[in-house]
Amino acid sequence: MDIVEITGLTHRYPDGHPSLAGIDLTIARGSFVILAGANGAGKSTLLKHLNGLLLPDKGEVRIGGVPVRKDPLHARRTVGMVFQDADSQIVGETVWDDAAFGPENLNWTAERIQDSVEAALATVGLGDLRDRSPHLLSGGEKRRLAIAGVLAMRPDVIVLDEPFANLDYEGVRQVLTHIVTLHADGVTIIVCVHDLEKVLAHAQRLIILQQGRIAADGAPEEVVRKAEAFGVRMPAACRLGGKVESWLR
Amino acid sequence: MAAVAFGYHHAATWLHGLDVRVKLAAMVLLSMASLRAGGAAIVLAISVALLLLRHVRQPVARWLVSLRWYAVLLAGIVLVRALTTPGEPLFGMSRWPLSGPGMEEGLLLAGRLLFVTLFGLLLAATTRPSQIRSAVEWYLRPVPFVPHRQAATMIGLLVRFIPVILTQATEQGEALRARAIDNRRNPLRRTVFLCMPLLRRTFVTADRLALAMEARCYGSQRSTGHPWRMTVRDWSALAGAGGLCLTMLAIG
Repeated sequence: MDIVEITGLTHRYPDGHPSLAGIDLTIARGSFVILAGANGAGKSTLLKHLNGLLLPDKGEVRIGGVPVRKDPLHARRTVGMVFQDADSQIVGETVWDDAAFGPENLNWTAERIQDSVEAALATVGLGDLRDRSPHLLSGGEKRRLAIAGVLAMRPDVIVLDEPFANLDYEGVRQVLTHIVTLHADGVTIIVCVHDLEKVLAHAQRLIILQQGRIAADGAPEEVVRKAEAFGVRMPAACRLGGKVESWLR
Repeated sequence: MAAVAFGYHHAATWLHGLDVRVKLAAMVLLSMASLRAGGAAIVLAISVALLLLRHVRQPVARWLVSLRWYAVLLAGIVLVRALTTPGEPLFGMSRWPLSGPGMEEGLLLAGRLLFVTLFGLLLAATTRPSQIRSAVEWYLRPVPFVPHRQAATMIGLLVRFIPVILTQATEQGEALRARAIDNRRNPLRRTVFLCMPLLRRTFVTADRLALAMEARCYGSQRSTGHPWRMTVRDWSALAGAGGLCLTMLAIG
């Protein structure tokens, strides 16, 4: 069953410049999808439509069968969004407060919030840092906190915008481990990246956007061969005729 | 450093465990008492604030260094008062006469501001913003026509945002120094070079924060659920704050 259904999605920037032009797309529940494309291809704009932060000028976005325009809150409960800049996503003064922000917005009971936040922090390995100020966390820890903040809301889909940006090797491995674990637990994962190498080995589908349109869509091993034609760098292993290895090995 | 000093610091002290409503009430009462207090009372109050800072295991010296620009502002206030208030000149200076009564008034005013600031920092260091938000909400709830939840969230966000702005100001200052801003003599131009990008960055950050909050379902219907329970310790602390207020007023 498809959890994301997009038909004829068109969106323009406030200056009239088109950002998305007639996107038709469905994403199956429980899948792991990479959304790639050059700068300005429309990736982030598309992701914001999934969460109801932007509404289509034309067309329709349905999350779990419910149109986002009709019930944006349902979309935000179902699709958790992790932004590229983890710093500007942090709201709480401690790690625990930040993870609890989303569940508090959902008006959950104190016990449910407690359980959900504890579980989310444990999942991303931040349970021991619950009273730490988020400002004092490393880049990788901040990114994991951003994931925990979304995870605590128990979404069915997690959308990550450039989750590996500005992270060192260890940071990339930590974040990737959590993404892969979440996918194994049945969460639908949509990752938006420039650099395919870090995540390609784990994905089931690769979608490339170019100038607001879907330029290529299919199995990663097939689509990656056309990537450079659309401004996305092909991983070195693919150039040499091999397969991309997981960064977790 | 300022960003680190201004903000919540977790520790297991009795001040951290105190009911936030008591802390807020104490701060308001003491601030009001300081308006009527004289020099000796202000010295006493500042001493109490510094002792409390030590008690809650805060690096007092680092806090005072973080407040150096605030100290410059206070020094400016004292100087302006001393220059503009009529009275017997100090040190026999004729060209820029610093009056004795003006200096006294300025020092008193600066002392009051410093005292209120230290108590504010103490409150911020020992209280989570979410708790401050809940307490403000509790106080505003009986006030008619005041959207208490929105008002409380705005205050909570403001407290959360101050360290972010201070961190950005530090980064901006370092970036300017790396490009030899210190060679410019005109302090006004230096201030403009610092403030304009900082303002722009602050607005962009605020915009991103608003988007991230919206993505996490922020709205007026939020869980409050803060369990309010006044204990003997809370009542004692309230009585202690009241006693300090009365002492300050009695000393005069």
